[in-house]
Amino acid sequence: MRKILAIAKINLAQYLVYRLSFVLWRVRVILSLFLTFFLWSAVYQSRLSIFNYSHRQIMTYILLIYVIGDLVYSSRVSDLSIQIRNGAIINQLLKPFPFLHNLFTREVTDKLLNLFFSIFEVGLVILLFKPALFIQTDILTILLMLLAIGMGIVISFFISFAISLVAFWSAEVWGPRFVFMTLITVLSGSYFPLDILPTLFYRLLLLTPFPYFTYLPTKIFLDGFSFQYLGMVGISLVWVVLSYFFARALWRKGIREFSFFGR
Amino acid sequence: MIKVENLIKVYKSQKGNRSFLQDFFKREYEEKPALKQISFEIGSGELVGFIGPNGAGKTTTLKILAGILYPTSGKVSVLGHVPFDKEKEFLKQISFVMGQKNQLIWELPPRESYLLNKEIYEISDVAFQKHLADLIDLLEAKEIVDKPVRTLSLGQRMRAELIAALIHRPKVMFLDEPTIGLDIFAQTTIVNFIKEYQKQFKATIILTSHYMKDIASLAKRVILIDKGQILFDGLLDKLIRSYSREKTLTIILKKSIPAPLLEKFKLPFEYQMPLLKIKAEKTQLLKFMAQYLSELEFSDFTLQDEPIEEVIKKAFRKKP
Repeated sequence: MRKILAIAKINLAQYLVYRLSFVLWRVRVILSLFLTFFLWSAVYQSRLSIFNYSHRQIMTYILLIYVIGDLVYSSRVSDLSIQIRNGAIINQLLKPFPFLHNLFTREVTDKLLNLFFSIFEVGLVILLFKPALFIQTDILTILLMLLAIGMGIVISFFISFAISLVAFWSAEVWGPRFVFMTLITVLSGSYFPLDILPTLFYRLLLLTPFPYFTYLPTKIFLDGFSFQYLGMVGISLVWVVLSYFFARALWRKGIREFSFFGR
Repeated sequence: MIKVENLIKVYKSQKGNRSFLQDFFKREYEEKPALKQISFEIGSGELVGFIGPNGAGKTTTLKILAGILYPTSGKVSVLGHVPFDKEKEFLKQISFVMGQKNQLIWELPPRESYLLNKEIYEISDVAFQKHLADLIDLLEAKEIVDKPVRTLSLGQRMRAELIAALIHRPKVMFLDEPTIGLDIFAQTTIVNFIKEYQKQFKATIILTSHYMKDIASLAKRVILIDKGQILFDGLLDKLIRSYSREKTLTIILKKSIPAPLLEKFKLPFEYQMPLLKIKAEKTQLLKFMAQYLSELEFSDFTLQDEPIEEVIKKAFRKKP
């Protein structure tokens, strides 16, 4: 535990050095929140309900998925490919602390920091525009949502980790990551609820990992506990296991084959 | 302590010199042997120097010993562990210092990195304070540890790096080019430090360096590696004795040498007033001195060993 705290502390200290970059990055993120918010506000100007979503529901959806997204998507793991390419990873391999634990600890610190800011930002939107929001009070629902968020965090972490590991074999990590990020943007429901898509497409989508990052927990919050959602959390567990074993196999192969030649 | 038997490491690398399209559709790899069946043993408390040109396999060997690289075949044992397994107990007892790679966090003062290592290596408060004080003292690094790393000079940074690498007081140290790029003063500080550290804490050290002076002043035993093979493993003195038979005699003359006398010299010489330089085997030189020294008017003379670099070059060419 002391190790984890020490790593977290260092991570925070590093961020503090780059305060301005961090704040500017948040500004970029907040602009996208405003955009989505205003877009949906405009859509609801003339109607009360679209695709079975009321104005109140969609506003809650947009703001909540924003906060959850900050928790789920990993930010630190992408540095890993650079460390592999330039050999800086060697220093971490030499430490008597498992590599993955270190990475995940840093990741969690990032998430907590981001969570703090995104709650603040969403609070700002609520204060400024006073949208009507839906509040969930059912404990069971909240618990299931938290569980789903946890699953989302882990799946996203391992997939992102696996993509970074491509660096062991190729310098072209940028390509796969770009595709992954694009898919996330479109398919994870950050801009609109996925179930407004055609049913067949929606069903197919549920087989991929994308809905389990942010869409599922947000949806659970809105609709409340049901066995259908419990089943979907079950599917996300399958994705947790799959992405874990995939990433682990790739990691083991990578450190065995990589030569760090001249690095 | 360290035992290596028939170690082989083959690197797979992308074939160069092919067109982009060929490369894109059917990438070919070639296998490049980096280590060809090397074996050696290093005992507890020894300080051994690895010598060899770039690409000889020195760093590869160190990386295998530290558990970073997976050996293609052969047996490696360090402190009774298989390095690549990266067991916690093993990693806590070793340290790998790379002159070209930093573990210190760039933006923060070194002390922050030390505190992180304290937790990672599970060092008690008391031990940490003691180790840190010892290292700061040995490296005269008092002013360095609280300045952000990015503001330190290369020499200062290397000292700070060494503290980070040794704060857990490792039993085995791999030092890969610890003095690379440093000026003579910084180089001397580091070399003296390594010497002193080894004396005080009896660590087992393997050192690579391109500066022969470093090796000569630190290691009694050297291992010469070239093209993945060990050319020599033994005492540096012995290496010098078997490869360095020549000395250079330099005479500073007061008066120029008359031509008839010059013609009598049997040994090859360089002569440009006021210097006369003769490079030859010891016995021949002695003979020369006995014969002609009395006939020359000179203000001073010196007798020098071959520079150690020359000796090593000869050893690599395999001719004494």
